[in-house]
Amino acid sequence: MKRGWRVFFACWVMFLSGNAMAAETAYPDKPIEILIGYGPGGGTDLGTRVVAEEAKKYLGQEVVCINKPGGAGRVAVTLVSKAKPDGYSLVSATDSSLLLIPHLEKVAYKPLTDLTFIAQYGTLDFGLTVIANSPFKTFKDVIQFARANPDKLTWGIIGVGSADHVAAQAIAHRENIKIKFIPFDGAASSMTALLGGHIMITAPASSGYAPHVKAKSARLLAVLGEDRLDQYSDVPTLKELGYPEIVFQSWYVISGPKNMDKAVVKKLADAFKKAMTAPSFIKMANEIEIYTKKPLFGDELRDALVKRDKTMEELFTKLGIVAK
Amino acid sequence: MDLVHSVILGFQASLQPINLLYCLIGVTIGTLTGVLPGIGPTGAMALLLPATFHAPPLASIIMLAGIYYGSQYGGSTTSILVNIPGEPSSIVTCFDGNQMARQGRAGPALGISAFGSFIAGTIGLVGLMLLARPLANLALSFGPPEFFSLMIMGLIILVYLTQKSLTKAICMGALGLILSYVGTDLISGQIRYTFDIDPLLDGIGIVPIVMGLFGVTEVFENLEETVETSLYQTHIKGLLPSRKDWAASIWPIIRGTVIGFFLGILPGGGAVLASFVAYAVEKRISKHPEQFGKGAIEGVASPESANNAASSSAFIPLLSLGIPPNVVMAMLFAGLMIHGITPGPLLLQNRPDIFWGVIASMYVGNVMLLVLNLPMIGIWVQITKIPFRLLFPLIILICIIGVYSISNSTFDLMVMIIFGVVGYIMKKCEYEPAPLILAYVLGPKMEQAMRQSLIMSDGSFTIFIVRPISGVCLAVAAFLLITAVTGFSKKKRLAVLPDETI
Repeated sequence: MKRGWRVFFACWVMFLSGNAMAAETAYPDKPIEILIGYGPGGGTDLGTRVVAEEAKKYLGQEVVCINKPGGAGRVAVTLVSKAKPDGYSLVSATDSSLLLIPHLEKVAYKPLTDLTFIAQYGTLDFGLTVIANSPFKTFKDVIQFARANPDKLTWGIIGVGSADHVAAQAIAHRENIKIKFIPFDGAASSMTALLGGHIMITAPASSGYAPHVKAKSARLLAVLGEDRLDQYSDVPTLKELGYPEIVFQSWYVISGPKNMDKAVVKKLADAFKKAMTAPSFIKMANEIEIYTKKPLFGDELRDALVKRDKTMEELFTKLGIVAK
Repeated sequence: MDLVHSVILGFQASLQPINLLYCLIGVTIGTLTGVLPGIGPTGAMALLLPATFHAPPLASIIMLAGIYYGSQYGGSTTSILVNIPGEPSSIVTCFDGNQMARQGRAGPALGISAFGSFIAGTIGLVGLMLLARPLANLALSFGPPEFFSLMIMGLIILVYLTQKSLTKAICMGALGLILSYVGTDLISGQIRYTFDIDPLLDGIGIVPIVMGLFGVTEVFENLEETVETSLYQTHIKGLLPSRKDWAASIWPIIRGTVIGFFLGILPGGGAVLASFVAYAVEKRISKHPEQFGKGAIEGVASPESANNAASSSAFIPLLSLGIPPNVVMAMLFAGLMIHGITPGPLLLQNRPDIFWGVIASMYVGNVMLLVLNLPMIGIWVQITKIPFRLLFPLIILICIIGVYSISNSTFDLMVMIIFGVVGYIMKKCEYEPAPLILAYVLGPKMEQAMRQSLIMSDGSFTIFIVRPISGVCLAVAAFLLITAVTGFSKKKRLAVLPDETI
């Protein structure tokens, strides 16, 4: 028994010293964890998993993706914002939890200061969609209808305060029309309602409208991004139609807790950058239409997000949606 | 004849060695995830999705689909053996399945469950082949008011789930509804009842609740008596269903299949609701409803067929409309998109090989599952011989692993234990968990549907009656409620609700 204890003690000391040595070796020396703020199968989940799979090669360690759904990404972001900034706890999130919700609700983190932004791996575009045989042929028709029939235009939104809701409210504000917003829990539900004729128009993200527009059971009237989309080059942007301030896009961003070591951030950003050039990633990104031509990383990304946050804040105040 | 040609094309594709291999892998993994309480097909599919990037498209989809319907086969195993549902859609199987196991009839229970699942899966596939387009359009005609009325009908079903007091069942239903509203309200974004506990932002989670109320409670209950023996005193009587079992089960299987098939198409319907409704229907039209809950084989045959039929018909909205009706189908949707295949009305035209290949592989998969599951019955049945002192820690361990595997959250484990204690107290006071679970599952969608409908109608409740499908559902619900409470004959009334002294 006594001998057993000595052996155990010896092993314990060995392990401890091993750890001390490990602290000096290069990052990363153990698997990296990315928390995904949404359930499996969604755009965030898919995009993160593919980028992680490819980034493995450049990091030399496993990149493990764990789903932590809840509050449109809030739970995952909260958890990582409180984690150790050692580069092994990352989170994959979108505009909802980073830019939009913090203006609407009390959240346990300050996105721009509590997080280190590492890489943007995708962009989500929104499109105003109507059913194929809808009487609305252009966006102008929609506005005319709403003006003539206040509170009759049924517009499907995906959650209160989401990007498409804010965009729709901005339009209503601009045109001084009354829209009846019907909330849904996801693009699948709102598209089902649209195809069944229960609502007249909705503005889901690309993964929501793409299959139906391709199948010609639905039509795009306008897109909400900065530029026209390559796949639908004949669909105008809202900007072109005369609403320059209504530009919405959601970014997929991988971040870590604040005060991460600059060298670690650079290593991660480089790995993700290279991962995004892999053919499997490009293929997937194109299929679910999240591909972004000019992704941002590190400090550039942070600056861009700060700018977008400011724009959001201004827009929210103008619309009268303030944080509680 | 075009149909026959397409089916042959499909079989040609699905019987290729690589597709057979992926099918086998898929259904095996599916069965395992079904058997293991907690981790479900969604988790397995999420883990395996990256592995399919480098595989051919048809094989990948075949594998992912196999995981889904395979899990519906496996879910009943632990339900029957140890009263822990492997999947939420197998909760109802616990009621009679476990009783049958206690009477030494675990073999027939497992057997009829496997056969019922096979028959339902096969018939469901035929339905899928023949009725895909018209049914898809039917599904589209269900808007928010129709969903609400359907859910109300589903809630009324809880009346038929109770063995004892109706009042207590309603209490449990109300509690289930309340619990389902904890979390973030999707409509207003408001956070309700979370007391600032972040993990509750997305609700309590059905898996910890079910594991607690069924698994942990079960163990607590059995710990009351200090017995050294194994679980079931009676010796095991036979491994396969007898003639009599078959005679009793064939019509429940057919009915369960029909119910499951139709409920699986509806977004938000699904295997869980289908299993509850099928059970309640069997109990309602049975000539001996008092047998339910005591080991009636109909109570195993019908729900197990329903959940398999629902898993077949869930493919209809996905493949014909491009709309995934539930989370699992959303994963398949993602899988298809990755391979450049866009599900929807064009799938049949552009990629008939994929459409028919998947369907044909599901036939093959169902056969594989039957062949896999039947011989396993002999092994599973041995579990009933494990002595208590080994079995209970094992059950707790499986529950813990199951719950933790879902969201890696220790909070969920606490929830499970709390519900275990609550469930124990409930059992002592003769409150049953089934109505709670049903209400918990229906609650969020029902509320959402109601609020959407009221927004659409500017606050007028007549929208539910004026729209035809919605009106019919409400009428059926009213009919069910009235006949349950008043009944046509006093004898039948007492049989359905023995404790009520009306």
